[in-house]
Amino acid sequence: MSLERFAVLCTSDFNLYNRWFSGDDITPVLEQRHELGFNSCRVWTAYRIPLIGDCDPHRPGFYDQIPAFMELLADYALYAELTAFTGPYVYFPDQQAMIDHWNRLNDALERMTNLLDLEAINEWDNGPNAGVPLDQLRRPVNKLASHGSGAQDSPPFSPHWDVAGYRSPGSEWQRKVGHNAMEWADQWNIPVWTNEYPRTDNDPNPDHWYDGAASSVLLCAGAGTFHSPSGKDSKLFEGQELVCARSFIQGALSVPLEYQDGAYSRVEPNPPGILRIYRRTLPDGRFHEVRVRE
Amino acid sequence: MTPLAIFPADLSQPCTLVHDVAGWTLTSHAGAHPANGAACQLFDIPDGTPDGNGVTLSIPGKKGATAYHGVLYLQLPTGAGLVIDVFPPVMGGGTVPRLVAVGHVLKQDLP
Repeated sequence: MSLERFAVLCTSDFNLYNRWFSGDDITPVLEQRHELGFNSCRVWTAYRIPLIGDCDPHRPGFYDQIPAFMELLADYALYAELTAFTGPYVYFPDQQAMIDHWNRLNDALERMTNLLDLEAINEWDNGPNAGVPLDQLRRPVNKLASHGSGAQDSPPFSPHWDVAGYRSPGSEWQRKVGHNAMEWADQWNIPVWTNEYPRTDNDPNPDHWYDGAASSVLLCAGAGTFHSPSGKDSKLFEGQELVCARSFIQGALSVPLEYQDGAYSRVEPNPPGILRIYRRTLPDGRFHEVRVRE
Repeated sequence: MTPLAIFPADLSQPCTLVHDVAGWTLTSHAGAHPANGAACQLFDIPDGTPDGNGVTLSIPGKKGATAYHGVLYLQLPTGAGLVIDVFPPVMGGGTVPRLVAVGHVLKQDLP
């Protein structure tokens, strides 16, 4: 047995399972994500949301087919973060229905080694999520689990579980996706990553995607989760999305993972055009820096 | 020279064949099945190769090559034939290493 470093290089693919379960051929999407260099997808499991999709978990076979879906992702060397709750809720009449959904997801993933984590909720403090019984959910065993991400720059849900997702604010996001996630990781001593970046249509500057991914790999558990309009509906990336996706991966791969264990520091002053210079230094004195551009 | 036709999922992808005792390693090339003309990958088995011996066939894939062991027969009506006798584990969720949390980072738990 040996442990090999792993950095989260994820993409939003919220509607991926719903598409596959509904009979769509998702292999071109998986092929594209894999070829670009992503190693994981963030997938939602129960929702009716415009521009994302309509995913009714009460369809016959919905939970039984999750292992086959996960195995298909594994054929493309992809892990999945599966998110249980993403309000508003049209498919759960009461809290018991939500708890049942959680338990069935947990059971369906029992033998899946390519689970990144089972995430309880997306943005627990966002209005439509009021009433989800997060304190009544059974904490998964033998698999990584997150108790849920918060809305922009708010704390992930507490008590934390094995890992946590962070959401950065919009201003200077290209440095906060790594730095602010690191602050939660340091406080809780668990892997944390930003599991929803701003979307590429909010910021189409590929330099920001490069710098955000690079600084995140250096400072926390990985580049985090690339976010785009096509990722919401799990379609092929095109145009500027594709440019930003490539830049995101290039930035993520520019950082040797051994430096994740180094001591954190911030180099000052910032030269013109640079927001921050982040550095991690290993005990032998070697260090790696990421310069985050304005 | 005797042709051995195989049909990997990606018919454009060359595969390799290593003979257990003859000492050669062959790379396949795109071709047509000797009997029915179907597109395939072809190995050109050298003359003098002993009949009925073991070989290892490697087919490239997204997560690396998948290796099959089998017995290579050379005197079939269509040329050579391969009878697989060692099958690799089924590809799927079980083949991607489980992740573990180690402090603030993640690691793959390799067997």
